[in-house]
Amino acid sequence: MIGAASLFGLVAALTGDGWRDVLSWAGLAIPLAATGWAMRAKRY
Amino acid sequence: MTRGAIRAWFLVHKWSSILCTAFLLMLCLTGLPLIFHDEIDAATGHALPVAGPPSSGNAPGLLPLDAVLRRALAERPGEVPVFMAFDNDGPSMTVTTAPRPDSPGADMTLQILDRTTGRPVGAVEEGGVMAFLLQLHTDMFLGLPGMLFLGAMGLLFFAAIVSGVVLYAPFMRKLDFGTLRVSRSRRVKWLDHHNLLGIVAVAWMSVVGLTGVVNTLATPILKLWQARELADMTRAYAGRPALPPTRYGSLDRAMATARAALPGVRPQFIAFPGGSYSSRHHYAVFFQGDTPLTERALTPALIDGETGALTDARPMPWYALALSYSQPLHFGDYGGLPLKLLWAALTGFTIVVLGSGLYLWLGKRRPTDARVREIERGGVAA
Repeated sequence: MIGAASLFGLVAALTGDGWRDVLSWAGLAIPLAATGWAMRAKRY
Repeated sequence: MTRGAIRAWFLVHKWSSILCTAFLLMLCLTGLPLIFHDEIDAATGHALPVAGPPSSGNAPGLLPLDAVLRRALAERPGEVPVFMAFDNDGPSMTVTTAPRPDSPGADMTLQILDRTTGRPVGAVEEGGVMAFLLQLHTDMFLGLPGMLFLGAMGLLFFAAIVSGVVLYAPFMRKLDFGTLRVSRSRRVKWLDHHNLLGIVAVAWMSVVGLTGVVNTLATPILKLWQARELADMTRAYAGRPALPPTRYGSLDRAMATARAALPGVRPQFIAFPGGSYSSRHHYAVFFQGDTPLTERALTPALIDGETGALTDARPMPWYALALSYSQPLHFGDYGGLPLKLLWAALTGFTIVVLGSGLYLWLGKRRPTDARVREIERGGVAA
């Protein structure tokens, strides 16, 4: 799912500006968010 | 997955990684500042003015292309024009000249001019840190062999990614997603970080890696287009001597003919006769597509360089389109500053994946069988 969100983010901004850019940022921010979550919640 | 399959994939991952890691680290480290080259240019005074009608248009107030060309050639006596490129956001445009129509890139001179005044604007930095980083990143100062070598490293990187994903599933069978065992050994800590950052960034790393490989094929792709499509479009001119620059016809007339053939779209650049983007007899006016998605899909209109008559116009073939779309997907420059910041962060992830992989390989060596058992048991260290 993270991969799919990343791929969506990579393509979204190619199709236009404005809200499409925002979708792109959101999609590519998900890997960073997932890592941040793991560093807080899954450190043992 | 059988132990034999795990062993095979482990060896693919290990050796493809070992061979490419040093070069991939270099590419990541040089690529990081290149992501922000527009911002660095603006901060160091190399930014171009943007106020005024776009030079790609034909609004009132824009000088004729012939006039701009004359001004540029006056700055470089004895040289001939090879390229003219336009801007959709402002009146700046570039004219590239060289001693001969087929001069190599190193002999070309780029001038940036304001199409409303014909005067030079901005500074063309030759050399400098960013140019050094770009050359190192593109071909390690080795020309085409260097580019192709880096393309091979990119393919090895993709093999490492694929094999890593294949090994991830059995390794994580008994571990929750995102598990970071920081209180155990340093090796286990870095192994878990390697796996986490690798899997969350796998799509981005794959796209940037593969588009990098395609970018290294730019020269062969261009030569293929010349040998196939361009030769087909200019078949009637085969065998004719090259058009000398002294007989080049009006650029404005050529542009008008091209616009009439392809209405409603904007020109991105013009290649002059004799260079690698045109025949020896034609102006090649490259037009962009008319939607945000298709603006990178170029269509060249070939205009007889002397008479100004249209010879042919057809879209670029699929392999040239692949190159056109590989560029933004590799550079990350198509979604504003936030996208560039995300690109930089994911490059940082890649650096950590590469560095931790190197650490895991250089650390306390264990036999391959021990590593394979570790994966087979679902991440429990042997």
